Amino acid sequence: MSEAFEIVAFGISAFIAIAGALGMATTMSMFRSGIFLMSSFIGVAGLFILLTADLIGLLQIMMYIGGFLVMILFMVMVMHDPGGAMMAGMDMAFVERWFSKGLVPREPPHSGHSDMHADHGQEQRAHDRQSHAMPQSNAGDHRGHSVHHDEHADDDDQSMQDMDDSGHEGHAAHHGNDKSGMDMGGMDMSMVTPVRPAAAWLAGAIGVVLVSMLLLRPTWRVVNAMPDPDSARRIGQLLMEKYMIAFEGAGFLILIGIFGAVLLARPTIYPDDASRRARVAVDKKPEPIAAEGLVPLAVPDKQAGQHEPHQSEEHGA
Amino acid sequence: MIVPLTAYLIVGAILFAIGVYTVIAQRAAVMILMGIEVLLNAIGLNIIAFWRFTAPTDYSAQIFAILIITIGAIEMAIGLALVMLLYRQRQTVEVDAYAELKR
Amino acid sequence: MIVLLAIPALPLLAALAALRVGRRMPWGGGEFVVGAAALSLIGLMLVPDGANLSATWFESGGFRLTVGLEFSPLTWFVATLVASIALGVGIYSLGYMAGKADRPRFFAELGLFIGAMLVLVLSSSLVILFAAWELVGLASYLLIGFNYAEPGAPQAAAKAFLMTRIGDVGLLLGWLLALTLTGTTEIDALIGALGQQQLAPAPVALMAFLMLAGAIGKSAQLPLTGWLPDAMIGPTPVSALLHSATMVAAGVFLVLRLYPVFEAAPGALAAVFWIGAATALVAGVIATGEMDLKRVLAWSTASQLGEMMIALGLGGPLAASFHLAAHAAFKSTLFLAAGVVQEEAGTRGLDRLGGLIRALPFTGVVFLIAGVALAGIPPLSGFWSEEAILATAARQSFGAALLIVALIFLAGTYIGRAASATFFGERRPDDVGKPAWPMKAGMALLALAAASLGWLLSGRLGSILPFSAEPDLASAWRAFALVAAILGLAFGARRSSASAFGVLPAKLRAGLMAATEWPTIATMRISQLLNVVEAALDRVAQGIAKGSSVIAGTTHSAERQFDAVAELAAGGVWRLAQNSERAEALGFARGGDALAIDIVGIGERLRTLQSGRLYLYTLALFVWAAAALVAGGLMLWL
Repeated sequence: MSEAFEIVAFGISAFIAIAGALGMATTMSMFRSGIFLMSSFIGVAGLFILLTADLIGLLQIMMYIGGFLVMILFMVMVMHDPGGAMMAGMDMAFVERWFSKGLVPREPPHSGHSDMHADHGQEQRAHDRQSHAMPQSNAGDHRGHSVHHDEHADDDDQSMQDMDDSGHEGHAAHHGNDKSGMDMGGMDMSMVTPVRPAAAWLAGAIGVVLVSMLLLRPTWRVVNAMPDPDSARRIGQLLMEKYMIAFEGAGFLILIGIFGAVLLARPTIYPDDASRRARVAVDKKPEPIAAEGLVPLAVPDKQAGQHEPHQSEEHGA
Repeated sequence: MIVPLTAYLIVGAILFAIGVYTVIAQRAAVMILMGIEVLLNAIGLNIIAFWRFTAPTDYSAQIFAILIITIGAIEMAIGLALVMLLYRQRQTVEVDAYAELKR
Repeated sequence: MIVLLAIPALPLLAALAALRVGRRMPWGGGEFVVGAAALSLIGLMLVPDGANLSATWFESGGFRLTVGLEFSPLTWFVATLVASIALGVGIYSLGYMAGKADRPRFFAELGLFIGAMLVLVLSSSLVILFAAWELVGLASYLLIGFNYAEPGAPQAAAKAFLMTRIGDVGLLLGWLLALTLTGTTEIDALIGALGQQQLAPAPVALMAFLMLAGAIGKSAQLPLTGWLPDAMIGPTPVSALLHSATMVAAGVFLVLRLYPVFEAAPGALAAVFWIGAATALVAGVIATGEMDLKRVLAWSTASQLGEMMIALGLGGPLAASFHLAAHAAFKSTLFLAAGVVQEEAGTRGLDRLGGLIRALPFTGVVFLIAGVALAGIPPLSGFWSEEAILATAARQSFGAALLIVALIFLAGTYIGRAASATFFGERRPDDVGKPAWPMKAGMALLALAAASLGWLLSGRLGSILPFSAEPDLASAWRAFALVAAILGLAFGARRSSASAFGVLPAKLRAGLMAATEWPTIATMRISQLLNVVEAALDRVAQGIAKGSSVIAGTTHSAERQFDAVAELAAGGVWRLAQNSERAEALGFARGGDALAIDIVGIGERLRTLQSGRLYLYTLALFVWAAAALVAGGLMLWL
């Protein structure tokens, strides 16, 4: 492994990790946040592998990307604005604007359908005015609008940047009006908290302090030994010997976590057996199941024909 | 080992700062969870980096990282359950809507 | 026992009922009184002999005052008499009062009198007797003054009340003396003590004289006769019941009831005789000259009561009680008839009456029967009773018997004169109405009694009453008395229109009135003298009061000084307490308040930190972490 490759690999992995995290933190779309987070995880996993911690790197990819991200995306599904459509166009910093590039602003769902269409139309007209290369035939295609828009954004990056810059004021004003309307409705639809500037300053300060401390600090005593390439075996031995209690504790913790998650997530008014039986007992006239007959779905027609006389015979008897 | 330890630590510090920003600035519970994951990643990166550069023959650090990943998994599972429960009750998952404890 | 109590209680209750609801009753409440009298009469028939109801009112020192009713033969006899006369008069007054105003008041007062009289008669205690005695006097006062608008009625009522009060003082002193002598007010105890010779003769004699004073006052004997003729201004039933039959007989009854006391005091008994003799003679002579029918009867009543006193003084209580009964019957009958005459003829002046036997035949016959009974013609009641008195007198002395014969002659004279002047001769008032049936019924009842009571009781009374029977009368005296009575009647009938004995009765009456009014005037003088004494005593008392007030003023001012000092001290303490309170309020309370307010404000401010917003918490957490980090870095660097 040459040194140049190591440096390049570190640079790519670190960039992916940091840029992914930054994108996760700043984009207006939750869905994009999840994707950016995945890229950040991949970058960190690359760093792990670079640090010869192969097992942890693989674990990072399997656990975080295979497990956590699926859960995160499930959670994002229940959000009322997973795509960040309502957030797009609000007053954004440069990074946010960059990571939210391509999002289509949309009215909140409480306004009527016609309003939404009007908004879309207006947006479409504004887009048409600014990108003259757009064929007129596509302007009325509302269904394929977002797909088309994404494609277009990918195609014409710089023009979209300009468009966003030029339309920033109008969008901001538009969204500000909506936000005030939201506040009057008693619910802040914004995705970020009011302390976002303070958080940014704080995070920046923490980063600067940490980095400066790291840079100003005298270097650690670095051991120049190579770890065992077959680290997985060593870790397994450690788990089974030295850290068995911790390992079992972690397993127990996972079990408790599963229990807790199931307990929390199960429906609270799901009927148990006793209450279901009680409900059936209370029902004086149960549904006449026998009289309805079985649904002859999987039954061939001939058997159904044989079944019908049998039923009539029973009725006759 | 051309890349020094400090470079990895700086990456971890930047990730940590971004996680802090996310945890504070984001309103949705999912985003907060994501921020926490980033924080945990930063810590794990730090641990592995220190292991590699200071004690490469002692694999306890990797055990610690595995435990951190485990904790993260549990936290995510519980978080998902909580989000589902809250959503079922309030039809929203924004943490601002759950401010009753202040009274 | 209940019956015994009910006998006097019923008329009193009837009086109350008459007063309350009499206005709405057809007879104006009279039916209550008549019914009560009838029920009392029935009760008297029902109660067994010897029934006794006695209780101790209170004991004080050695004195024991009792209240109670007793049912001895004498009380039974007199109570029956009273109830019977009351019944007859009550029935009569139903008709008499018909159409007159104020009937409920009249019947209430009548009921009060009947009840009080029955209590008086039945009482076994001197206290109750005295109380009933006064009640009877009160009823008499009220009934005499019933027509208070009539000129002279209030004066007559007051005169009767005051003159009987003079005698009542004697009775009061007498029973108080009896109380001091025996320690109790029980009449039986007094009589028993007398029978065992336990009491000294002098106090007993004094007591007898005092009791006699009460009897004189009530029975209108000399010198307290004057009120009785004036009392005739009252309604006629009142005259019949109170002032002829029952109340004025209460004096005689008192002497009868306490006869052992008088027996133990011969001087008093002699006084009874002489007073009775004088009254009987004087009143009889005056009656022959009186020109007012009712006043004739009133003087006659006084005379007859004197006759009873004579009998008592001569030691003949049986004869006295016999005459008491007979006299009650015929005199009340006479009064009732006179009432009819007054009502129907409009006058009772003998010179303006005459020939009424044709207009009022029933009344005339009744009057004549009663009059002949009064005169002592057999077989009517007066004959028997006067014969008994004559027998008693003849046993004692020839003069006394002669006096009785003279009285019989006088009685025949005045009653014959009144009868002939009223019912015979020229018919004077032309428009004469008919009496109502209740008046007739009452008169008939009493006339029957007057006619038959004599031979009913003759010879049997001795077995009823516990007095020794009088000896048989010599036939010479009997014939003499009969002749005197007939002569008197004839003489009286002939002198119908004028005084029987010329101006003598008028002079006598004037002198007697003056004489009888003298005690009243003397009493008045004494009371005026008492006024002066009282004024002097007042002045002395005022002086004492002034002196004591000066002393009190001195002590008061001293007390005020003390008060001022105490107030000063209290004010100081109060101000001290106020100051400390203000200090507490300002220093502690207000300070505490300010502290509490500050704490509350701090809490409010701290509370705003707990916004419930997660991002604020995390922000704070990381700010703190960053600060710690910076501090740690600086420490590391320096």
